[in-house]
Amino acid sequence: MDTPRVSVVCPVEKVNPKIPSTIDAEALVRMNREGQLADCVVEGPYDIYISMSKKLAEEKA
Amino acid sequence: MKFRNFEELLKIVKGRPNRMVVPGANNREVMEACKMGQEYGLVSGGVFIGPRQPVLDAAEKAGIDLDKFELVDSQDPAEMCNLAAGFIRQGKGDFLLKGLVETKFYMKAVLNRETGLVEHGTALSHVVLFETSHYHKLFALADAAIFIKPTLDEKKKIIENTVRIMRMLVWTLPGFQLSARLKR
Repeated sequence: MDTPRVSVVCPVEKVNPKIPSTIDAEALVRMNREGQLADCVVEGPYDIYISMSKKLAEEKA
Repeated sequence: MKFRNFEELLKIVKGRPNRMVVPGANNREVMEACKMGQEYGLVSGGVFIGPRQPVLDAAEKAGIDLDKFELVDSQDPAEMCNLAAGFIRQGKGDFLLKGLVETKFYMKAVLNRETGLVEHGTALSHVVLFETSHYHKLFALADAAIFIKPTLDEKKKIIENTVRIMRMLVWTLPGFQLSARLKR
């Protein structure tokens, strides 16, 4: 069974204390790595475009 | 059994027992949806709750085969919703469909600590499953209806709920990305 991949979508990809959703995204990724949020792979903060498009993700990188 | 697209999903569920419980069944649109469900083989029967005669009239207008449905008479929307939640708990139905009742009564019944349908310590969340020609597999989006401003812990619960659904239902080939979560 494949592991579900979760993208935590935020307005920007960089953690910014002024944008609370990015702080939460970082925390969720950490929880995932530490095993508190299991059975999935959590990544982020990502914007919606790089979450859904390989081409755009590569361009941005 | 898992599916890769909605066509597969339809093949899996068609004809299986699937009983709907409808608080506020005295409504044309809801009855038309039930009728469509019957025609697609998605609805095998269930319980209609509401004022008796208006429910019968709505069922007749929609052409529903009432043979498979139980009719429970009620005039009060809060009571209808509590009865509906109760029927699900008792195993008399498999899913709820909201009829002509206000959302506040419906949600209150579902979320009630003692008689509701949400396990203590978990959260109710919303998920949409997408099939689109623009993406190579099904993907999920959560939560678009329940949480206005989720806390970190609520976001964790949204992810957990969604992951559980995806693991149960959606089949993927190795190496594929499976789901996306949208946050406000």
